[in-house]
Amino acid sequence: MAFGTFSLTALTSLFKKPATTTWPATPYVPVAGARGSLRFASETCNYCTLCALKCPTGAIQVDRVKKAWVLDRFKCIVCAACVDACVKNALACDPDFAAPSSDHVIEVYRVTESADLCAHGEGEA
Amino acid sequence: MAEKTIIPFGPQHPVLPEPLHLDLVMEDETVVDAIPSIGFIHRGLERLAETQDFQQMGYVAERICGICSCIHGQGYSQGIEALMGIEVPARAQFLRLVWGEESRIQSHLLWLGLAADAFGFESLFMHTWKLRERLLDWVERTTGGRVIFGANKIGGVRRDVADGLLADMVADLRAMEAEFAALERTFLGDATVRSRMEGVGVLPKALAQASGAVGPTLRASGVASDTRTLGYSAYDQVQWQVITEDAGDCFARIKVRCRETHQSFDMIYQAVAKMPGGAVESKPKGFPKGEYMSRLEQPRGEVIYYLKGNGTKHLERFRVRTPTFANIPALVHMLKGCRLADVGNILLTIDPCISCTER
Repeated sequence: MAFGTFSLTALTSLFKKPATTTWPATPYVPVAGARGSLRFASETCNYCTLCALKCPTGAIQVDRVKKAWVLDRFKCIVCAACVDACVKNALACDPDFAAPSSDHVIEVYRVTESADLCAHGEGEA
Repeated sequence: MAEKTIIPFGPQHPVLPEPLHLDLVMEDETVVDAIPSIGFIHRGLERLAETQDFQQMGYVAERICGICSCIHGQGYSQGIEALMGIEVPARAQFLRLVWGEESRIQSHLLWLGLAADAFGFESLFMHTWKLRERLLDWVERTTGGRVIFGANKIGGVRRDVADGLLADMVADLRAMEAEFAALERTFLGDATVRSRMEGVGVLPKALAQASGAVGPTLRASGVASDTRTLGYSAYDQVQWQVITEDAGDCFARIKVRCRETHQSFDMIYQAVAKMPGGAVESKPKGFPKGEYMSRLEQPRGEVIYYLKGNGTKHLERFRVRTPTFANIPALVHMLKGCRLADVGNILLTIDPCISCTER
């Protein structure tokens, strides 16, 4: 009986399409609504620092005077506590994941500029 | 009489996904005693609760473990809700049940796959994990998280799910259950699996109770103990029974988990059919004060949360007793008298989760 089950499973598996996807020929489609990575929109932010206060890992720093919003992606756990806290809808979660990286980059966003990437230690907050 | 030797087992071993160390006292091929030691991945999360805001700590609590994250978050939230007297809306309670049971199914599928891999049945492992991936896709679609669900918050759940999406999910879960039934036939009916698992690592009923075992490990020894009978979340509003087996061996533990997986599917169908409307959260006001013990059923057994608040935003004490910690004494009893080649299998049947245990 067991031999019959094995053979049947092996035979049907031979003629079925693969269970895995052939990435990168078939591109990965992120699941809608997933907490993939954090996105910041500097034009709507009023630098109220609520996101930095709510962040459980201290990944966000906000400078109200210089109007700078700083994110350390190595510390961010994408829990979306900041997204829930933001009253100006300046923060959102992209369903796609952030690309893996071995360089510790601190992302600094200023009110007039888009992302300004600084190496660790050199970022102005 | 043969000379006794000690064989170190772990913390790094092919059957172990996480570090647990055992000193196996051997007489020839037979284990006469096992001395466990843990402490390789202690992270001090309980201490962290004393410095974190009690609302932020919810995100940390569900990161105690990567496999049973949803129920950890729920345990913490339920404890704080009880301390602050928050009434959770009915829809949130039902959604917690749905996600909690999805968490149980994915954990049992993960374990069944690991067990299949441990007894050398690699294709069965792949088929089991293929099914698990499909379930995780639904978890991601409904909660936003794949491993860390991030679904629970103090006062309810973090997002509502449209009824249409829930109906689509149930339709696909029914198809998945049929696929699981086919896998289950191999797990429970295949001669190779039975010869490897039957009569191995027997834990008699009296010893299971005396050693304080919990969860499927205890239920496979014939003790009907399940914290879900307390009726927390919406467990008092769905029809279900505590699943037990009498044999107490490794095969009985596989059987209990297979049957529980079917039951979890059934609970989700019932919960979605009865899903009430309305809000999914009530806002917490003030700070937690007092002491509370929150008890829930993890996929691995009963987890206990002890929370002590002093009226400030930091908790005074946070303590978690996880199911694997309770099952380690039972594991030592199971290992006595077994063959060295069976140690890996027996160890896996308690479904060890060391990240939980050490926090």
